[in-house]
Amino acid sequence: MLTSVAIVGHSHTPSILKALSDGPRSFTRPGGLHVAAVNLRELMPGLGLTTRDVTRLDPSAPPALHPAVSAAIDGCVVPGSRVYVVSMIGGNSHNVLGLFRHERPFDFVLPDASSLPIEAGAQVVPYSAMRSCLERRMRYERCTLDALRRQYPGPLLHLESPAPPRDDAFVADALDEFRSLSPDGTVVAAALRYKLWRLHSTIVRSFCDGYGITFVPAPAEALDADGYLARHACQDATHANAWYGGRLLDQIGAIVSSGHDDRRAA
Amino acid sequence: VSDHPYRHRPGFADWQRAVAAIDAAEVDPVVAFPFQIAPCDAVATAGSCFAQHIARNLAARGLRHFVAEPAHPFLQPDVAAEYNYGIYSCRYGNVYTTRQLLQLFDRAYGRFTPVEDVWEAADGRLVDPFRPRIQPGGFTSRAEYALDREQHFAAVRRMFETLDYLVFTLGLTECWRAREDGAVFPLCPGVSGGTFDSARHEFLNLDVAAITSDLEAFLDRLSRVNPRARVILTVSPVPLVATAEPRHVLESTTVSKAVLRIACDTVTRRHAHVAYFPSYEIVTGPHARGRYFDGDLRSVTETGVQHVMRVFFRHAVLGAPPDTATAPPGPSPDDAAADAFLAGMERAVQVICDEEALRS
Repeated sequence: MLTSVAIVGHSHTPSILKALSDGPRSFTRPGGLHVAAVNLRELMPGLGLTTRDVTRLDPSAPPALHPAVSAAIDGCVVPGSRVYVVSMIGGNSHNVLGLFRHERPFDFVLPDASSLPIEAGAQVVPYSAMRSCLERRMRYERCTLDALRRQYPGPLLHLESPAPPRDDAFVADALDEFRSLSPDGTVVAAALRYKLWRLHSTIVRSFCDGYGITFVPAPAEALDADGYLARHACQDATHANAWYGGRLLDQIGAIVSSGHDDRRAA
Repeated sequence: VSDHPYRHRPGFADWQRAVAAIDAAEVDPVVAFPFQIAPCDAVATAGSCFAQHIARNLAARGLRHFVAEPAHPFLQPDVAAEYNYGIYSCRYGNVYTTRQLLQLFDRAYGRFTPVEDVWEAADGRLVDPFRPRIQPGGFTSRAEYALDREQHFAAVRRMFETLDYLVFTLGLTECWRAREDGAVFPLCPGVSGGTFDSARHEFLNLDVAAITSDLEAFLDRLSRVNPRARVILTVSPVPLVATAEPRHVLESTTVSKAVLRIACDTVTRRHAHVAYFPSYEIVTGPHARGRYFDGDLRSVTETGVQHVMRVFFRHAVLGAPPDTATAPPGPSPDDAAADAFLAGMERAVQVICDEEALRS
């Protein structure tokens, strides 16, 4: 039976779109996998909307996807096929805190990697306070995952956002045009970028657990020995490239062919 | 009628004129406060829970509440408060006893390292025995615990060395200490972390001599690191929540508050740089007819707090202070800068993401 994989997300989706052959928004793999993706950062402006319109927030009702978003996702599906929805929603909240050094540098200790270096002179913020802080900044992301789950009760995966690059010089070069926004133009230490990414992933995983969404960790082959994004997988300071997108497609293919969550798909 | 010393006493010395005959809200027991705090002076706070009201109102009424261990400006205000940033000058939580204050100083300067220096919870989280409620859930790793402690002690030292005034609110005489080295805990082990063990922990009820001695030792140490520091002592009007003495809690409350008050009187008579401010008297005096206590007969109502602060500002603060709290202070320059920084970073992330979207 043909399986449709409908991928929806923000700025991390281009890695997959590029991997899907530099042009077409969908393709069918031998073995009966039809893959298509919706880049909300393209879709929403095209409709005269913003990315904040993806999910409708009404205090008196559960969060709901904008009809145009669900229509776009539905458009990725081949009628009569088994359907997997794959989220690449959000995935950048941690980068707001982790690009340039603040004039009062901060750092924190990851509970399961407590030997990672702490930036000299940085204020150490309690891990759980950092988590609360970032979680607050991810409210919209959470609501969108909630809305996605409400709209699509079948198999639903969420792909972890890419790890950060390790190379400070690469990151600094990639951020050069924004240097004036920073007090001294110094990018945060690689270890802090890594910790923020891990914290972000921990939070997203907890959202996914709460909504019955399968959290898919970043492909191991795209990471170096310490968990940073391998240089050949980097697109810019915060995104991965088409090669990485190809690895994501491999992961999705493996999950689908393993029969993961078939009960929901039925 | 023959003449006698009481015939010529001023109005404040006469109960009828100073208390009974005037409106309760106008009772003002301060006669000659020795200090005039200027808006630029760094006023540090510590003490039992009533001290939180004082700390909050100092800032709200325009004084410089000296926060030596502030939250990082990225933290949202409610998250910062949950982690006890800005409640007092440093993240030490409630300092209920003079022994705790003295040991805080000694621990910050490396003069005393308690044997029982960390409590491990069943889930592996770590609790600081000397500030067991400083953050929800405790610390997540030894490394975090050690770094936070180091940072905390550095802030405490900075506070002691640079403050102009320390407002210390004495709250309790009863406490629990480690038998091995005398380390005093703010809460009995087992209440908010740790495990009570009568072989290791014992009850201690500080008497006037002990409290006076603690205060003298503290003042001596403080003056060595900060010779210009001045200290304002107050006694918390909040009754004991429970007593460990074999007597009624009401009796223990009376004894404890009396002991604290006598110790304050003793010390302030000895030192020109130490003053007493009568928070206790304003809240518990008969003029209030108990109305400054909330339904639980312990918590002080906001009306009571405002009476205390009104009198404090009238006598202890330079210039003509407002008689009621002003609007809550707006964002600090640090917070405003952080907001601007984060807004800039959000824009940067948006642009990067937009550029990436175009790639597809």
